[in-house]
Amino acid sequence: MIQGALRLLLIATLAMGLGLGADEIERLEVYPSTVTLASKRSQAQLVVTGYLANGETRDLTHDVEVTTEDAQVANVLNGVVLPIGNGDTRLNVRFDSQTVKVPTSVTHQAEPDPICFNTETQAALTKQGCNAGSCHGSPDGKAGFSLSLFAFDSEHDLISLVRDGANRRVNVLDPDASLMLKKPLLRIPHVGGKKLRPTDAAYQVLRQWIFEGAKPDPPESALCTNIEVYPSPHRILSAPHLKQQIRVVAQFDDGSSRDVTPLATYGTSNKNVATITPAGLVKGRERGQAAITVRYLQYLESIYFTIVQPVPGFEWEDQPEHNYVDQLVNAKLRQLKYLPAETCQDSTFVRRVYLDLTGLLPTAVQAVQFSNDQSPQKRDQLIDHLLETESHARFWALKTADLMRVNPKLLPDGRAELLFDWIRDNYRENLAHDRFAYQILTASGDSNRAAPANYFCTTKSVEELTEMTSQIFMGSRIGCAKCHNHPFENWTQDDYYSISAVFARVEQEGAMVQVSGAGEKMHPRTGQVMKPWGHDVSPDIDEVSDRRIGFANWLIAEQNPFFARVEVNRIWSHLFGRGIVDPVDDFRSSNPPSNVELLNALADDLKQQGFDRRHIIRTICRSQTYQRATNTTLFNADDSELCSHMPLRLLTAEQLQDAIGYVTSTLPDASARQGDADALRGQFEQEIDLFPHSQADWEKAFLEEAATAQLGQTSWFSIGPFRQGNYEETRKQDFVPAMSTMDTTLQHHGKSWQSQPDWNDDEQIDFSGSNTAYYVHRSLQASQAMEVMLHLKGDDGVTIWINGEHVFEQSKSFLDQQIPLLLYKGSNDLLMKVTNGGGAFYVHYNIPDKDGTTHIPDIVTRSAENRTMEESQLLQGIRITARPDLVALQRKIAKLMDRDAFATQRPYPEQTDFLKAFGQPERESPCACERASEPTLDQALQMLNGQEVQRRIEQGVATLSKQEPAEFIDQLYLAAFSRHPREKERATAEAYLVKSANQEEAMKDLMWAIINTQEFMFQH
Amino acid sequence: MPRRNFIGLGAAGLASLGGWTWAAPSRGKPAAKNVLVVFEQGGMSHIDTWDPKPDAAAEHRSPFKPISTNVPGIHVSELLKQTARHMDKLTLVRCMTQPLPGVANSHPLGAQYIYSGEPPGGAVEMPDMSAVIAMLMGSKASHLPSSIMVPGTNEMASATRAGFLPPAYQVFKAGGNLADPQWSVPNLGLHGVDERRFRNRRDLLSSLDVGLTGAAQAKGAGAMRSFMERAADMLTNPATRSAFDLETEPAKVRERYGTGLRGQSYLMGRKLIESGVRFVTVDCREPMNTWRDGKQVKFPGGSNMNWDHHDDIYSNSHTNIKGGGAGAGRYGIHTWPMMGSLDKALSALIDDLHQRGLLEETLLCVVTEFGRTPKINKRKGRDHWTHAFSFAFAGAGVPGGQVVGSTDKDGGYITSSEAYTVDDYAATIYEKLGIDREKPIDTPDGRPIYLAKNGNPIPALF
Repeated sequence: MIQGALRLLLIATLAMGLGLGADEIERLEVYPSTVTLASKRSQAQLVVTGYLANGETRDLTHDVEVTTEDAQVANVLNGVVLPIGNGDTRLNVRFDSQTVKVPTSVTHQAEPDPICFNTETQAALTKQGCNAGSCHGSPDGKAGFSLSLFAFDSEHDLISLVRDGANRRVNVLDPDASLMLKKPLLRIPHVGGKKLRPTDAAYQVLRQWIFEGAKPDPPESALCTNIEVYPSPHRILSAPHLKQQIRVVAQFDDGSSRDVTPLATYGTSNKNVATITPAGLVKGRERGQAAITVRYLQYLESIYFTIVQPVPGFEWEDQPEHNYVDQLVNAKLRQLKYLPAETCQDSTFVRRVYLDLTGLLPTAVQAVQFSNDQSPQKRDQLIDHLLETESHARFWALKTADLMRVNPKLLPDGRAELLFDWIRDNYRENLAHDRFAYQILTASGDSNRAAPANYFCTTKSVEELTEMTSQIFMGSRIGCAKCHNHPFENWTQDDYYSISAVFARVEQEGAMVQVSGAGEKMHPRTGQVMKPWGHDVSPDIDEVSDRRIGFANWLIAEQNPFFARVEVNRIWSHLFGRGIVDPVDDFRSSNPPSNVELLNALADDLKQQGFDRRHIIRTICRSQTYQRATNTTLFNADDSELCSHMPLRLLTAEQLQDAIGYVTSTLPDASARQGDADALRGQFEQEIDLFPHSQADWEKAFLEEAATAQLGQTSWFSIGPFRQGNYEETRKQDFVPAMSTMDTTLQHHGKSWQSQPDWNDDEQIDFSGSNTAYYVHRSLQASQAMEVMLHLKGDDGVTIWINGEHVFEQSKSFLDQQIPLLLYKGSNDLLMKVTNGGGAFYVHYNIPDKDGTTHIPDIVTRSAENRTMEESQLLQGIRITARPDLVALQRKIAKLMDRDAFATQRPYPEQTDFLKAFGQPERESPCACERASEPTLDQALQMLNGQEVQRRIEQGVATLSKQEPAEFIDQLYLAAFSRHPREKERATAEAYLVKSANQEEAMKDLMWAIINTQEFMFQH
Repeated sequence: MPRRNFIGLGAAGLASLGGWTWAAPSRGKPAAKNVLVVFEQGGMSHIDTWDPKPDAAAEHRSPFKPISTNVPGIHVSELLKQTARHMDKLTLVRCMTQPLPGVANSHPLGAQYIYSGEPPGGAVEMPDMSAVIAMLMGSKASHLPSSIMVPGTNEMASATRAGFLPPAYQVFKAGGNLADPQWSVPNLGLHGVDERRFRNRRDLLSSLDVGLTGAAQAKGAGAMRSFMERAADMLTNPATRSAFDLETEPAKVRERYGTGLRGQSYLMGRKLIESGVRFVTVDCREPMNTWRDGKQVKFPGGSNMNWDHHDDIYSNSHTNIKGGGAGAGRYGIHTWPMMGSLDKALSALIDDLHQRGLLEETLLCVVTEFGRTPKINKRKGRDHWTHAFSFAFAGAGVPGGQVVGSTDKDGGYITSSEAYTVDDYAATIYEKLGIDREKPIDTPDGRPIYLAKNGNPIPALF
């Protein structure tokens, strides 16, 4: 009956577009330029584009008049060409005075054209939403009827449709009685509601498939290999011309192709901006940008649409452009008619850039210094300076460490610190990001020494490693593809297991990471052995090579679509609180960047500069875009992603805690510490430089003393029992931190050190309690540096530290071993942890030879050129430890460098109630989203009434109470807001202090109020 | 026909028909407005409490005898002597089971399972039921958090999750030891400053906090401001204070619940429900150093006194058998810090909720991760047992004086045709609250999530 209707309509015309002046259209283009209809059911969607003099495009598909020269060959309805009979003809596509001729060829009209289950029925089920995750595509299906999510498993679906359901889902004798038609048509009740209409293209496909016998495809059927979408990749629609027809063509492995515009599934990333009809007609709505996604089977493509609407009164105003960042941001703003905010004030800038680059507020002194600086380049200079600081390296390392699960629960025995330090060193030295990634992804060895190898120790499975790596370095959440093809992206299950195959040979045992020569990853559904991802990029990699090398080479290659873009996007997000692609680890074509040109330009810049991250941070910070005020106007208030103005950002947990520390003067100035440490280090190095002059004398004295070297030992202390879950957890957990000097007056987990005067050497010391651990400690007094052999017997887990350094560990089994201990002159602190896995539980400790081995004297006896580098370093260490002044200097430097008191500078999260409330991540996930950034009630309570705030205020005012009110107020404002108080603020604050009977209490109140202002809690 | 996942029951034929017999899901009447969960953590021995087994082999039999209750024919252990008087208000479900021992055998995962209603380790980490309910139903009392845990200080309280929901829905943990006469909610009772001074501070703040340009438009800034106002209100609102103020309860009431941590926590559960909190979880255990009758007391040798009785379950004081599995420090199940305080507190709670009419709209659930082995082990303890254990329910239309399901003579395996999982428990809570489980909630990634998707409401509770 539809055929009949078509014959009547030889000419398809539509109303002319609104106010479309023909004179504006310079050129008319029809896509495709020739039409081939090679089967009975084939059809072709035309897309007609008019080009305007100014280069703009206009969709005329539904505005043109189309006629066919031979109506016996083809017919056109609503821009769709349909076959009538075999033959060749031409279509005349006319718009006003312009006509384009489209050669059209129709063949195979006499041959059958059966429905293909894999490529048509399945697409129809997807289009109608039958196999969506909220319907029958959910893992258990719905109402007993289960389909694979978005048709990824045709075999399953065919059984489900044809064999299950008591054979009632399809009825080949009476197709209209099939449940799979009756239910979605709502001819009988369907919980999912009406999902199908007889006029839908999908209905024709489904009904015809049943009519033809509901058969699986013959084995030789062509498979879809790709889809092609037109127009692509981007279109701009300007009001009032807000329509765009699209065309989707599927390509098959036999070289054929088919127009699938009516069967493809469409979606939008922002329905306020653009929507699309089931027939593929896009309609622009509010101004903005949206991705229109096109899915056909497992293939997904997106077209980015920019919708431009008039904004009354809008007139572009030029802002200074410092570099390409501003040019590209402004181009987008101008196109979408938003006005950029003006440049922010110095006091705002200094606070903003300190917080972003170092995590810390500028001190009052630094704020004043900056505001007094008259140099026109002072902003650039400050950026350059901050990028060189220790605080910067640590704060940015924290951001990376967040994603790599750097926490001591997963990386015990100091390995969390080791990995953090390594990441920090990368920032400190500004090592190239591609090298950084390569070193991590190909790391192996003992992760007590090989810091990056710890990357492989935080995950429990190859799958977790696959997902973590993809999320961190490719910004892709491929976890979905573990069980089914990704619903919104081209990642398939094949891809997932192919990446997994890269890591299938990584073996991790305790702290050891090794790559073995065998091990495969199988596809869970097909059982097929997967080829490792990236193997085609590095074909020279043979079977026995580390597969990770091929993957890493693929990842860091120039043309990799993810690597550089993901990194610059993360940097952008750190500086603006929102990524150009957001969330930052969800790159997919259906989640469009807010400014694709900007993202690409930054990525290109990163690559051209040899993956220099600091260069990108500097470039962004120097832009006017970064230096914009937070002020909004009528012309930019509703922009939240194009950077017309700086968004307000709640300080992160760590930033806030340290900011409170600075404002209350309960944290020392980190930059001053850095300077002091540098000065002391210079002093220390000067002393070391003098060593060679007295080396001969020292060696002589050393050998003399060695003859009478002696070791004394204090009696034992013990603490315990400790327990945390099972044996292995208990063994790994650090209940007592190993320090260079142990303090036995400290308590640990509510337990105290006990003196054990009765424990003797060469006697068994017994403990009790399954799966528990004890620590024992004593000091070894060496009359000079020496190496002694400790003869230790024990049961199950034993770990030994000397002077805070981890020197021995064994996990489980009976132990009887000689362990060399290097002792320095003076007191050496020995700490030993004993963990019991069941049965006997003891240690037996003895140092039979208390005057040391001859190892060190041997080195000294040899001449300098006959010593290895390590031996020379050993001697230098021994000389230093024999000099109390140098030891003291070393301790001072270490103390200044120790930034554990700073939340923004620590190697791993402290997880206090305060920090947790403000979203500090535990570091258990590679997702940037583990850091919660939304406000909560808990946070408000912490600020108004929390113990952290209260404690710091109490402490702070105790040290500041001598200050005069005016000075106190001024310093408080400078520390909190990097500015002096305004007159009114000063008056209010002074009045409060003056009228109060108790000055100190009033100071606390004022400090409390400042900490609770928006201006303090937010970065602006 | 009830909408269930028949596939799980192996009734494939029915499953395939399920689609075309059109039946609106047979939801029970949504009678609950609030939920009070008493989570007795550690794996409470069902044999020694709700499901006594007098015919078990003598060497494995509980020394505590079954007693009658105020409902003829229903017996519970003598350790529930006071609670037995309120059996007419309770439904005992003796056929709880755990088909996923790998998950449920673990205390942290088992606890997370109880909180979220779904076995942890799935593709998406689920939020707690309390967080979902807070999001979907909001709160009746804006001066209080909509989901509170009392006290929420135990190790397993760290298994609570907001999951993919905004962090604002994370359960609020009251903290501290409620038996301590000085107890107040950390951060919620003003410390260091009195109310007058706090008001002065707020006045000062409002005169100094001029706001920020652009703040009116910024989403985070607006939300933070409203949270600050809500928090300040909570800190000074007499209703908030009295909701958490145990002193407002007559001494007689406080004594009736028991004056230790357990009794006072149960009492706080009732107080918070009465104040309009949507979801309250009581998750308590007596500490070694604690208070009773307002005085400091000590349970010598006691540490982490939950229900994880791997050794010496019938000890008259603390357990300290060498190699005792979970380690020394539990107290015998019949001692005061265990069933002694529980029986007193629970009987008082049921009676009190009933007297005040709160049972009408409050679903009370008494739950634990799993049960304990029918056999007594070499260390005189009972180990984890996931095949059968018991939950108790009351209120919100739950029939009283009812027993659902049964176990064999040792309490080892379920003998009834019914068997329910923690998922079914979760589905029961959602359905009792009238939450439409057919309507998925979406993760930020756009993945539809069905609530308690593997569960079905327990029909006998409706």
